Amino acid sequence: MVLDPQFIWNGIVVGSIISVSALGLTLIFGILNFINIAYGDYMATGAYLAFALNAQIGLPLGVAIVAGVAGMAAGAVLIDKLVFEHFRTSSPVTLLIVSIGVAFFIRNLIRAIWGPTGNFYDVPIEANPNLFGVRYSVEQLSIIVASLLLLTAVYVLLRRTRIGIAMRAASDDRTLTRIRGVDTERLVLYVWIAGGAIAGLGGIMLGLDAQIRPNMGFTALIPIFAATILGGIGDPKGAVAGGFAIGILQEVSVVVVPSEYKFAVALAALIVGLLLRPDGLFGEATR
Amino acid sequence: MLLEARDVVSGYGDATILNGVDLSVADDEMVCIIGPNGAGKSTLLKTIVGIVDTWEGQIEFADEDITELPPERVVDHGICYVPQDDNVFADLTIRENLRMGAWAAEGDDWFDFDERVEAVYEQFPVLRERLGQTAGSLSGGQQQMVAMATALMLDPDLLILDEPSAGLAPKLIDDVFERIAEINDAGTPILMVEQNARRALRESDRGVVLDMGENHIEGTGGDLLDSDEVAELYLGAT
Repeated sequence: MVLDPQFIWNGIVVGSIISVSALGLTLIFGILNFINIAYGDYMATGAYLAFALNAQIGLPLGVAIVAGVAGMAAGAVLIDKLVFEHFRTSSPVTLLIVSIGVAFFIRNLIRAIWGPTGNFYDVPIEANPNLFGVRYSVEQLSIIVASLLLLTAVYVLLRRTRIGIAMRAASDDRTLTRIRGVDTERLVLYVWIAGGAIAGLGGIMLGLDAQIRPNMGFTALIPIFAATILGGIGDPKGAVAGGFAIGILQEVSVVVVPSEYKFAVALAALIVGLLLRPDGLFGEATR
Repeated sequence: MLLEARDVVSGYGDATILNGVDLSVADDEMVCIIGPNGAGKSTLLKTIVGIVDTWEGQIEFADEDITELPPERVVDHGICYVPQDDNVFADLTIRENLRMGAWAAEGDDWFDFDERVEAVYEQFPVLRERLGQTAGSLSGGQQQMVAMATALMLDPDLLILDEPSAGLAPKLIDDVFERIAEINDAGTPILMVEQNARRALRESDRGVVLDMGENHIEGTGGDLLDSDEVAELYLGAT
């Protein structure tokens, strides 16, 4: 059996979306130390904001995307002020449960505003070009380019800037970061801005690749969590590597298992990964 | 007095650990806090730097009230603290650790990062070759050096060390104490807690014995070493 390169291409597209999304989730976890279940619904919110501005109001897609990303960044900060900030000293489990409440609230708000059916961005419908037997769309190419740009930008931020180094420090040891003079509440603000923006972008990419639905983000959480945990939760480069691994594996698996079982493949990869490397891809070898 | 803590009461949750402790450090002085496990030695340091809230009492540094300040503001007053455990950012390189040590001063006129890094290398030459390595990949002794180097980046007005020799091999303990003496000789006042009480008292100008969250005995390092009471109760038989 020869592997059709189309599946690899699809895997790279899906992997790009998962990588970007997993990166945002892992950044938030790194500083705030809880798993934000509402993250998938942040993604959906970004997708719907861009949809409203593009398909409903008629703005060009590029403008709608920038506004959707910015809107979700602001939204993440707002949700923190309204909800999460009040639970700063609570246990991660409490925060996880609170975030489930936030997730339900956002998802139903989206359903109330935009209805339960699927929507699409206003993009020109063209026959997909074909290169070496691989069909690709302009949207898919844009998704890959945008993810690479974003991943590079975040890498530079975390490695080269003072704030980025402090973010990594805080994700390592928050008390010690405060001892060194960093106002970690300020870092939390920056992380919500970055995490919210990245979630929004991930959601828009997902909407471009498939369709915009109220539960799009929630469904996408399974492979995103798989990528985040596989990469070692809180480790940005792990999340990116995990994202591409899960994305490609998931799409290529279609060759052998029915496509309804894609998510099962993501979970299987996660379980095998955790058995072999409990601290994540780049963590210390088995403890 | 440079540092003056009066009647400090603090603790965790419902548990009171410090029951009205007094402590002072003068300019250029090296003060060592000794006492049995659970006496509240580490808690006293954490209360001074703001990691543990002060419930009652007052802490002044260079005539300014720092009682209520959170840790990120205490460092602005020139107090640098090295915790006993978790005192380096394991995932960060040594250079990045030093960068974090310099956080509070970056942007200040007097501060030149590269110049300070050079000064710190003079004191800890082993770090020079390992700049790009993550702190987590170093041995315990080297991590302790990184932790002290990080705290020295600001050229602090007071260096606070919690058990700097804990978990180190005997040869390294000598090394660490030598460094501490050098730092103090160069003019930086030091306040430390040490399990290795005899050794620490020999190096210190003054010793403070803490027991059950209260002050017990206080005196010069030599006096405490000579005291039968201190020897019997806190230093163990030799």
